[in-house]
Amino acid sequence: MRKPLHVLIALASVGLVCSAGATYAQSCAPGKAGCIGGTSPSSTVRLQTLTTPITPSVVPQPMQTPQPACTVPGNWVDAYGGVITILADLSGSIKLPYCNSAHALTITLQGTTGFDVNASWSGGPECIPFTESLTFQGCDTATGTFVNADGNSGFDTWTRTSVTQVGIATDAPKIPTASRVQSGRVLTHSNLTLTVTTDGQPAAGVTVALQSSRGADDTIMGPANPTDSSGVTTAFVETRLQPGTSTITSATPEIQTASPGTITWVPARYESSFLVTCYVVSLEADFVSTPLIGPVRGLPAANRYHRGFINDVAVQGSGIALDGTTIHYDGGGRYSLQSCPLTATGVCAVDGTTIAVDRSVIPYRSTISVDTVGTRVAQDTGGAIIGYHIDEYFGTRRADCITAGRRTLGVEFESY
Amino acid sequence: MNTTTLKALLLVGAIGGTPFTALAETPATGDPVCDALVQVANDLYLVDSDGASLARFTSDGLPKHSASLAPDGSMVAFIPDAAPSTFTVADSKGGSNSYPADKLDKHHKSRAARGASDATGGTFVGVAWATRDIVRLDWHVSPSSDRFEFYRVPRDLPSWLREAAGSSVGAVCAIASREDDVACIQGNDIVVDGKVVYSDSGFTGAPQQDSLTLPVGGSASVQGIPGLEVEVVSIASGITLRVTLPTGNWTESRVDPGDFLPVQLADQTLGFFPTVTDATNGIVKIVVLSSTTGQNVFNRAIAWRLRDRGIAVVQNSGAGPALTLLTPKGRSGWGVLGQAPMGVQAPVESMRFVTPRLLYFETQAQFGIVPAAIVRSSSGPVLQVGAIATLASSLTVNVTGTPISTPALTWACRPPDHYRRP
Repeated sequence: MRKPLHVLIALASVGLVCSAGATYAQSCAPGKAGCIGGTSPSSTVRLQTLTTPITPSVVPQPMQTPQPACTVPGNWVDAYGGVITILADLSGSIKLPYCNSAHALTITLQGTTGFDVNASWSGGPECIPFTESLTFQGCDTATGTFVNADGNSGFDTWTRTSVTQVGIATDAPKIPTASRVQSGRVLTHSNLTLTVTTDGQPAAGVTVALQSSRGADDTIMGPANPTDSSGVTTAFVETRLQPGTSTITSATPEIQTASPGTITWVPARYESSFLVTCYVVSLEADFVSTPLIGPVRGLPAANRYHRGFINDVAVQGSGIALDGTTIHYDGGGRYSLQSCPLTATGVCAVDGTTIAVDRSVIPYRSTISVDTVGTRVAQDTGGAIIGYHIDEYFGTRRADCITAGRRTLGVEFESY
Repeated sequence: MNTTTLKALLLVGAIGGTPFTALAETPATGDPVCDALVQVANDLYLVDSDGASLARFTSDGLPKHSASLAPDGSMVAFIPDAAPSTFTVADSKGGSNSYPADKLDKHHKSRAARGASDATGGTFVGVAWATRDIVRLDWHVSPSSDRFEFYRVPRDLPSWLREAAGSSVGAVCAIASREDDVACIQGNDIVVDGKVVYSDSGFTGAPQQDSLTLPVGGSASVQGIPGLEVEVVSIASGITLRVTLPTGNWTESRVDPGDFLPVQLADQTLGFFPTVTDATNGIVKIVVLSSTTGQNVFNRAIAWRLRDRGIAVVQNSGAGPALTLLTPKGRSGWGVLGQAPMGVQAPVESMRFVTPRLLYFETQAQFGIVPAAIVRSSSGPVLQVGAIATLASSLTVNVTGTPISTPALTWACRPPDHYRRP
C-alpha cells in the first residue's frame, strides 16, 4: 500500500488580519473561503472562539536571521487544526479541518531564509487556493502572511513538530539458493536495513511500511518487526523483473525517507557457489587404434568409424570424425550428422562461450560471469547437470579439461 | 542408541486403504528407524530426528563436500576440500582412511564387467554409498553422462579398495547388492550391464505437431515452429531426414523403419517419425510429435529393489514424477512391473529401498519415505504408492553442547527391528 511520507505541520495561528471583504473579527484561515464561519464543525467551533476582537495568541516575532542549517521537511501544525507535511523532496500535502481531504502543496525554497507555500485545489466548497510566504523564526517556527484566492489574507505562524526519518541501506542483489527459475526468469533478492531516527536519535519500536518505485514488479517482505533499541530493523525485496533499478522508500506517511534504498538488479550473484566442470568433443583421431565398424545406426550406411570413437561420442555427446563431419549421439543407440556440435538451444557449441546448465537454476541463453573463468552463455544442458553445476565447453581441448578438473566457483547473473 | 521411529508409515495394510493382497513378499510391519547426517563446524555427525548426537565421524574440522552416509548409518564417505582427487571413508569408532580416486584397484571379477563401458577419464566430482558395503565414485564426463565406478569397502578400512564392478556410464548408475549387475539411466534408456532393458522415447502420448508428406528431395516447414524445416534426403538403407533448425544449423540421420529422429529445441523435443508410403515414387509421410519431457524422460535416480528383484526409476509424466518398477522377465527381457504417481513435486535425485515395500528418496528440497508395493487387484498386479512421510530438512542438533540449527545432508533409514528377511 502506498502512503505519502509526511511530516506534520500545525498552523499555529496567531492574529488574523483579514482584508478584502472579510469581516475583521471573523475567522480567517489559509484556504478558507470567505473568511466567514463555515459549515464544518471545526470551523464553527473556531468561529465561536474567534468572534471576539482579535487578540493574537502569538505575537509575530521580529524577523530573525535564519539558521543556515534550517530545512523545510517536517510536520508543521497551527492552531486552526491544519496539518502540513513536507517531504524531503519538497513535495507536500495539507489537511485542513474545513476541507474534505488532504491536498497537494507546492513548496518553493527562499534560499535558507524561508519558503513559499502554494496550495491549489478544488476541494470542498469551503476550500480555496491560497499562497503563503514564510520566513524561518528559528528552524522550527516560520511566520508569514497567507493570501487566499478570494483576496482575504492573514498572518500565520507554523510550528514544526518532531521529524521521524528512515534511512534504507541495501545489499547487493543476490539469487537465493532455494530459488528456481520461473517462466525463464531468475529471482533476485536484496536485503534492506532500515535505520529510523526521530530528531536525529534512534527511534525504537517504530513500524515502517515500505514501497518500491516499481510497484508490483517488486515484492517487499517486512519489516517483520518494529525497530530495535538502535532504531534498526530489516526487510527484503525480491523481483523477477530484471534488469532495472528500484528505489525503496517509506510508505508510512509520518516517516520521511532520509535516504532511499536503491537497487540495480543485475548483475546479481548466486548465493550458492557452483560446481564447475568441463566437457569436450570426441576426436576420431584419438581412436584410430580401434577397429572400424559400420554401418552405425543413424549415420550414412556406407560410412565406417573407429569403434572407440563411436563409443566415446555416446559419452561425450558429440565428436569430430576423421572426415571433419560432426557426429552427435541422439540417445537410444542412434547417431546423427550435424552441421556443428549442436547445443540444446540449436546453436553451435563454442569454446570459450558455451556452458551447459540446469535450466531451473540458470535460464537458457542468459549470460553469466563465472569467477576466474569469465563471461559465458547458457546454451546447453544434459541429464548429468543437476542444480548448481556448470559444465564448461572446452571444444577439442581434452588435456586442458583434465587439468582444469573440478572447481567450485562463484557466479554472477548478468543478463537474459 | 537413541533411535527414532517414523510413526504412521504404513506398509501393506495402509497403502491406499484398499483391501489388496500383497504378492509373495514378506509382510513388513512396524516403523523404520531414520537418522540424519549433519555437518557442524565442518565435522560430520549422525543424529537422530530429535537432533541428539548418535555418532561422530570426523574431528578434523576441515572443509569437506559430497558427504554421504552408508545405508545403515555406520560409515560416511566424503571428499576433503583440500584434496579433491581423493575421498575419505570414516566410521564412528575413529577409523578412517583416504583413497586416491584415480589409483584404486581395478581388478574385479564381477559379471557387470561384461557390460561395462570402456570409457575412461572425466572429472572426479563425487562419492556416494551405493550399498551398505560399496561406494560409488562419480566422474563427470559430459552434460549428459557421468562415469561411475564402484568399490567395495571392507569394514576395517584397509589401505586399498577393490573395484566391485566395471566402469559404467550414464546420468546415474546403481549396483546390485550382489555386485553382479549395474543399472544405469542413459538418456531415455535403462541399461543393465550395457544392454538396454527398457526405453521410453518420450513421445508416448505426445501431441502431434505436424504431419507431412514429401517426395525424396522435398522439404517443408514444420507447422507452428518458424524456421524449422525437414527434408527427405533419401530412402536408401532407411529414410534419411535432414532437419534444419531455426538457427540455420542442421541435423541429419538415417532412420530405420519404425524408428524416429529426435531433435531437441530449447523448450521441447520433436520426434520425426517417417514411413515410406510409396516406394515406387519415393513418397514419405513424416509425423512430427512434440514432447516436453523429450530427452529427459527419467529423473536422475535409480535403485535396485531389495534382493535385486528389479530396479526402480522415476519417470516424468503428465501427473508428475511417477515411480516405475522394472523387473526381469525371463528370456524375454525386462518389463514394467508397475507404475504409479509418486506424490513429489520436484524431480527425485536419489532413492533407495529400506524394505521391499518402503522407499527412501531425496529431492532438491525434500527427504522422505514412501510406501510402494505391488499388490493384486481385480485387474491384476498394480503398483500402489502410499502417502509420503517427510523427514526434516533441517534439525536443531546438540553435538557440541550448544544447540544449533543445521540442514540434514541425508538420512539413513533402517528397517524396523522386527523386520525379517524371508
